[in-house]
Parts: sequence; C-alpha cells; structure tokens
Amino acid sequence: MNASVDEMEDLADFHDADAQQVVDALNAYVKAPDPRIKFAHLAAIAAETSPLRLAADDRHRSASRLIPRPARRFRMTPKRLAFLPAALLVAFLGTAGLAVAGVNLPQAARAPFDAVGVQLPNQSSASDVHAVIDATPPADRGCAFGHAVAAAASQDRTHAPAEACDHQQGQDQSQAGAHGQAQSHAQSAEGQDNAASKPSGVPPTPPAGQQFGQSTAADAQQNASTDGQSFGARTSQGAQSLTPSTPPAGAGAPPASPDASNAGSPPGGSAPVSPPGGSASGSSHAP
Amino acid sequence: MDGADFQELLQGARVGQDEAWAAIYEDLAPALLGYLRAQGAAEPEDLLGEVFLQMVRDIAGFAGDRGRFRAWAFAIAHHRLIDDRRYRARRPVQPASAEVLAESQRQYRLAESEAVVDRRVAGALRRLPEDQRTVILLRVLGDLSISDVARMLGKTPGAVKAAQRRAFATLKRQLTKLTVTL
Repeated sequence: MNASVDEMEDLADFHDADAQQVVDALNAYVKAPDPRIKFAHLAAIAAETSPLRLAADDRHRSASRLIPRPARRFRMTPKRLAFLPAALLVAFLGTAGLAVAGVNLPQAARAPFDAVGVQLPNQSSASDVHAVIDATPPADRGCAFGHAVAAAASQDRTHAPAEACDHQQGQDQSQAGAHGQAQSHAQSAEGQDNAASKPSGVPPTPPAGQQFGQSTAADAQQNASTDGQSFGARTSQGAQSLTPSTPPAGAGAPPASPDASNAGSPPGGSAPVSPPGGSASGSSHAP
Repeated sequence: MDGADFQELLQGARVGQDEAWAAIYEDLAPALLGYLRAQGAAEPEDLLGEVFLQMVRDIAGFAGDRGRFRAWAFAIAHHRLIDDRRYRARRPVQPASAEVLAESQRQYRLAESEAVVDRRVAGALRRLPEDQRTVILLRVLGDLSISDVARMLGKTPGAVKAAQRRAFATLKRQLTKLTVTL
C-alpha cells in the first residue's frame, strides 16, 4: 500500500489472515475493462485530445518563427560542384563563339586559350604585327611588307593576294622607269636650260606600294597594339586598293609593254588596267 | 515507472499524445473500474470513460508526481460517481426495453462467471456506511495515502484512520462470521 510507516502501524490489525482475506477480496474488483470497452474509451480519449495536439502544434510553429534562422553559409555541395565543369565549358564555348563571330577579344579573355595552346580565330595580335615590322628593314617596306602587316593584323582574314604586289611592283617599276625616262627626255629636250626644271636633291615620289608599306608600318607602330582590328581593316583596304581590280567592259587587253601600259595610266598606279593575275604580271615583267 | 518517466509521460499527455494516454489508461483503468464497481455504480464502464475524458480536459491544470496523479484520478472518479448517483436519484426509472434487459442480464452473468469477487465481501461492502466504504476502497484499491484520502473527502487524517479501522473491523467480522457459519 502507498502508506507511510505511521500508517502501516495503523494497519497492523489488518495484517492477519482475516484482514489479508479482506484485502484480497477487495483487490478482486481490480480488473481490466473488456477489450471492446477499452477500444471505445481510447477512441473517445483520442478525439478529446485533438485540441491539445493542435494547440501544441501551434505553439511549436510560433516558437520556430521566433527563433531566427542562422545565416546560411555557402557550401560547395556535391550538387553544386557538379555544375562547375558545365559552367566552365559554357564560358569556354561562349568565348570561342565570340571569336568565331569576329569579336576581337581582349588579352585577358584570350589568355586561357593561349595557355592550353588554342588559337582563336579572327583575333589580331599586336605582337604579330610588330614581328613583321621588326623583321622588315625600312628600305624593304614596300607593297609586300604592307600586305604582310595587313595579314598579321587581320589574321589573314583580308589577306590580299600576293600577286597584287607583283602587278603593283611592275607598275611601280614602270612608273619609276617612265619617270626616269621622262626626266631624261625632259632633260634632253629642254637641254641644259631645262635641266634645272626639277631641282636636284629632291627625292623622287616613291612608288605607291612603297608608300603603302611605309604608311602601314607607321600605322602599325602607332595603332596596332591598341586597335588591332581597325588597323587590320585599314591595312587590308589599303592593300586592296593597290590590287588591280577587274577592268570595265571594253577596256581592252592588258598592255603588252611598259610604255603602252603607262601611257594612259595616272601616276601612283591607282587605276589598274588589268585584272589581277598572271597576265598583268606577265606583261609588267615584259622586257 | 520512475519519476522521470512519469514526467515525460505527463508531458506527452498534456500535448495529446495517444501513446501517453494509452499508457495512463493501462495503468489506472483497472483500479478505477474496480472502485466504481465496488461502489455499486449502475454503469461502471460508462463512468470510467467519463472519468478519462474529464482527465483529458483538466490535464493542463495538474502538476505533481505519480502518487498525486493517481489521487487526482480517483478524486475525479469519486466525484463523477456522486454526480451519477444524484442524477439517477432525480430521474425517474424508465422501463427498459427487452433488448436492454437482455443485454444487462448477459453482462451480469458474464460478471458472475468471470468474477473472482467474493459475493460475501460484496454484500459486506454494501452494508458498510458510505464514508467507511469509500475510505477502505480508496486505501486498498486506489492505493492512496491517508493524507490523499483526507484531502479528497474533506476529512482530517484522523477521521480517515478511524473510518478505515472501523471498516476493516466490520468486514473482518462479517467474513469471519460467514466463514464460521459455512
């Protein structure tokens, strides 16, 4: 029994056999309810405790709202780590796509490609231009030099055909020859009086190709490293202007001799009379 | 069940955990039902259900150990018993239908066949004064202390002791007399 020591003494009269018989008889009333009754009672208790559960859930939700969430630290989870190669690949391909589309990328964007040995298209390089300039002595900076600079600046996008310089070279030579002949004719025709018509010491007008080469060299030195694409475009246009274009209809055959070729051609060779190709070069080199 | 386990059980009951209330039912239902039967309740199972529902409603206001919780449960059972008696005393007896009578007799025979209750003791209990019967049943079936019984019945501990002594003596005398007679 749930009794203190004093209470046990009070019950001493009931610890004999008869008292124990009474206790045992009373304890016989203590029996579990019928299972059906028990099930019904527990169901009723569950229904009655529903508000208690709802109140407990509300308190829990309120308590969780009061507790500030700790600041989330960025963690490189395996899922996020899996996206990293894809992101790098997208950046790589995007940059390469810009280069293919003709965008001249800055050196910082090209550096990763240069590191792995990948040469992006349509990219001008000031170092390439400077290399051409440095490799060509000033005296040899003619048409071919200009074309070489143009090719280096534009990465061969607007590379003019090599034969253009041959024709131009022929024009330059014929112009130089005609000029020299004109000078000699003038001197001989006018005699000594006309000998002073052109003061001595004045350098002759350089050929067009040489002018192109010199101007290209100067432009390269000034602008190739800062605006390589524009420099390449200008150089390409200049080279193309030196290149003889397709003659208009009825213009006739290319000249067969230097004299005939120069008879109607203005100085500077800006009006090519024959299409670029072997004919012009062949004729220009005709003795 | 130690003190820590009981407090955990009590906390679960406060928030409506079914498992906690099932454990409480397993622990108290047999003794409470026995008390209600020994007190002569007309429908002890129904009263038992009402006792537990009242416990659910009042659980938030309870605080104490396992002994106090048991006393609290028996107090609720005692007051529900008194209310039921008053209710039945005010209501006229309605004639029961044949089905109700048959079910009642079936349950009585079931109780008779399964009962280990000594009918002599049951008769002796019915002849005890109400306060002596209440005290002896709360002390023996409820396993409550004299102070808990005194607090529940609004009596002094001395009065509870006296009632208990007299109840035991009467029952002992009745059982002895009956035994000798048989």
